[in-house]
Amino acid sequence: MITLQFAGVNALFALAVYASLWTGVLSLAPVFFGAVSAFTFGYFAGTLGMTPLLGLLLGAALGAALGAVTAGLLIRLDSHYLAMATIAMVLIGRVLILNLPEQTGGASGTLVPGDLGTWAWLIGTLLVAAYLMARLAGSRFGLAADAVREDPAVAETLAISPRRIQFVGMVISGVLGGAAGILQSSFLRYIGPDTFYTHLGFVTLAAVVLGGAFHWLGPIVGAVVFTILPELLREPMGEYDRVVTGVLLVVIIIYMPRGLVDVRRLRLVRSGWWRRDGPAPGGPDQGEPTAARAEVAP
Amino acid sequence: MQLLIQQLLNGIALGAVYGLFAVGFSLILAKMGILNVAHGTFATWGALSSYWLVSEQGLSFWAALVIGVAFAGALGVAADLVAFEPLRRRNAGTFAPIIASIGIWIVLLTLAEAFSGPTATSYPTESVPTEPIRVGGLLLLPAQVISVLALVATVTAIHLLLTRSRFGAAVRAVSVDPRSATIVGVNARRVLVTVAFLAAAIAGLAGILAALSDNNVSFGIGEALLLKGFAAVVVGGYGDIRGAALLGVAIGVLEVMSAQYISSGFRDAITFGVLLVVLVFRPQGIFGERQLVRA
Amino acid sequence: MSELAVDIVGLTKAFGGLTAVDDVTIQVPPRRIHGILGPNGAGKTTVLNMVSGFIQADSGRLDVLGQDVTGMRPFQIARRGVGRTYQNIRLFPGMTVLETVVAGAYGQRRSTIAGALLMSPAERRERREMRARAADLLDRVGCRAPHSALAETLSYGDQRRVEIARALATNPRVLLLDEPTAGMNDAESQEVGQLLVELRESGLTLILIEHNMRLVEDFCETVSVMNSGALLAEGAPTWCLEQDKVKEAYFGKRSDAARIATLRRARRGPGGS
Ligand SMILES: Nc1ncnc2c1ncn2[C@@H]1O[C@H](COP(=O)(O)OP(=O)(O)OP(=O)(O)O)[C@@H](O)[C@H]1O
Ligand SMILES: [Mg+2]
Repeated sequence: MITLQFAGVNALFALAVYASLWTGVLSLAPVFFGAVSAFTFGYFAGTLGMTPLLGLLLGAALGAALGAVTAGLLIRLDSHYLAMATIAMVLIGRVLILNLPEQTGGASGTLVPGDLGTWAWLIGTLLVAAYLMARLAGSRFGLAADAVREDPAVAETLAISPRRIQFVGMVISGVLGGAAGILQSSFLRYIGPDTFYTHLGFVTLAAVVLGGAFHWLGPIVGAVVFTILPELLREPMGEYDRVVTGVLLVVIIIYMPRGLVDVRRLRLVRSGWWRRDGPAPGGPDQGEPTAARAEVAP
Repeated sequence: MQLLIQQLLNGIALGAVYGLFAVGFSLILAKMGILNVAHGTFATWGALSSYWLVSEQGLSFWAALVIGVAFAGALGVAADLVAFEPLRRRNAGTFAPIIASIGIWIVLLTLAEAFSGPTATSYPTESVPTEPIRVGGLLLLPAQVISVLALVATVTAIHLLLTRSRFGAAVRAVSVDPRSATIVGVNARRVLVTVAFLAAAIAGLAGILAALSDNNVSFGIGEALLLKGFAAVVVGGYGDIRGAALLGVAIGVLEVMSAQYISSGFRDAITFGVLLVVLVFRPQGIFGERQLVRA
Repeated sequence: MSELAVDIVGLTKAFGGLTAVDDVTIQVPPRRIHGILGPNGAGKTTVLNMVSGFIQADSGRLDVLGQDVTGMRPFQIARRGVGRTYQNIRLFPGMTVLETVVAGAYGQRRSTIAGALLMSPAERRERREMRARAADLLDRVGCRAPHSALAETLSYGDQRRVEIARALATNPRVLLLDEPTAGMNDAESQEVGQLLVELRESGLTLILIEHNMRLVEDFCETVSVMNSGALLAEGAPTWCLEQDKVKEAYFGKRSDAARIATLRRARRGPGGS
């Protein structure tokens, strides 16, 4: 049961990663957003007391603000540097926590009220997040995000400003990451420097990659698989369960780059392209149709 | 004055390790176009394997250093064969190699954690050179001297290799376009594997020297180096290993100086502050010519 | 400043040592179908890329519909009324035919994220309207493939039609077409020609790169001929194609040595027209 709850929180984090990947930005920043909102929540809940709903809204708002600042500073970087910079944010987050013991409790961490750590809050938040994503898919923003991710250069000649779309993606990513951080801390009731660190980032990213980064259902499915799988493996594999996460990540990205929830494949099957005389998808100049064709210089 | 010079030397020695790591990191980024976040774990495994050879197998430190470096290099080659080459063949684009390298990071980090256990140790004191060298009131530790020499030797060797040799020309051809390089008779696979080996071996060397300088062998070595190395590559500019090496040294000096004269808590904050400022205002780095900002 | 739809003055672009476009001037008045001709590697696509902002010119000036757009980002140029298609078709993998065209309408839509999240009636109406408009555009360009099919699975001809529809969805006033009939048979090419005329009637200015001479002669009012980055001739298509230097550049003739000599001569005189 506990495991399923964490699957839910991880799904929120994964949706946050998905929100920026949707616009062609690979970012682990949601883990950092989650850390900031959780420690802020811990600090204020400890000193002022705070109702659960207010806490959740605070987390989302703080995440949005951080997302906006991050995007404002980093969006123009080359995608490699951008990805690395967000990984650096996660690593730096831990340094900050350790160096601000007054506010964060430093190495010994902080206690957080557990009011939000219930099924009702978790499912409620997840439903709201899924609704959000479902509404955005197919909207003006959603189609522009698809276009920017698939081919930013072409998107730009359709009057779409990729940076603007990526900015919005990062803000949405911040909202979801901030909220996920609050819920995570509430379930754990204790947060420390390692709570929002690389391991969470890895699981989250693995979830998005496995589930599929091309439909909002993907990250949710992936998070459930990647939270339950290590639990099942803990018995036979002991401390090595994470190795499976890593290996799966490599295998999936090579053999199933569009993940489990692959809308494109469904559409291919539905339109039965192999029976037509049209060219097979991914024809001569198309390469692997992932996020990727992205940076190809015009 | 005495203190200032001493701290400057300490900073240079610390920075030499960062610079060394940055050279490997930038080599694989600039020449193979791969942002390899598993690079830190190559350093970790260089340190862990050499430690194991010294303390469990009774090898001399120098023999263990050589084998540890080669082992790290082999891990780099393995990563290339298992993950990057299949992706290259599938033409998988920008993100796939980063994600694959995160997978490798997870695997190697988990294994390192399991191998070393949670507590940090250090090389047995009797097996490593520890006798300090005194030069007129200044104190130099052997580890510091070795680090600086290693950086100078590595940067010189790699720079000459890339600019003066036929291999360097082949690397350039492959990094621009592996397919055309193959057509003009370059064995692209061999070039890529060699670069992967060199980059990871340099990381291994950096890891061993970091462990020696810190007197601390643990699975966390690579993470710290990854951050500093990334900062050095970004600030130094993409593509020229000399920039990365120089900035690694600068970061080391900055850290030691800010710890000495401002506050030790600020040590990391200042490095990251510099990183952020450069990322925002000069994303191509101080020495960078090639524009990496999205056009 | 001018009443020209597209005013390219002295545009130059070098890739490394190769000058792909060398001091090219092309001026196209509104409601004109203008062709750009030239052998492979002449620099035609590079000109189009610079007009759409896809790549930045090294020097030269670019005005579109009376506005100076030199140095602008592609999305800014697109907002000022320039649409384009690609020689090596660039459709979005994973998107259906209809989605692709609706994505092109981004700049025409007014709905906001809040509207989408709150399911506002205006946003829902807009979605419907955009889909209807996209369907109209697909009919107009003669794409008969099912709208729910993946765009990348269509025949090359239909892929090119979807690209034209996607460009038209941006509601352009200048449309740049890079070899729109490549891979089509004669009948299909003539259909595209008819479409060009219809679009011109509705007020568009069209610049197209085309290798099909029959299409050029039938539908282009003026052409610019390029070779090795430089402009070789411009004027009415029939006249241009009769010029010796054009024939030589295009088809090669006599011995190679003679051809190379002619090319040299042609390059020495800048502009050529
Ligand atoms: N992005 C680029 N980088 C380097 N060289 C380029 C680039 N784009 C074009 N070139 C070169 O510039 C020259 C002109 O190319 P361009 O594509 O404009 O020719 P074209 O007239 O469109 O030919 P085609 O009829 O084959 O399409 C060619 O030699 C080409 O190799
Ligand atoms: Mg062309």
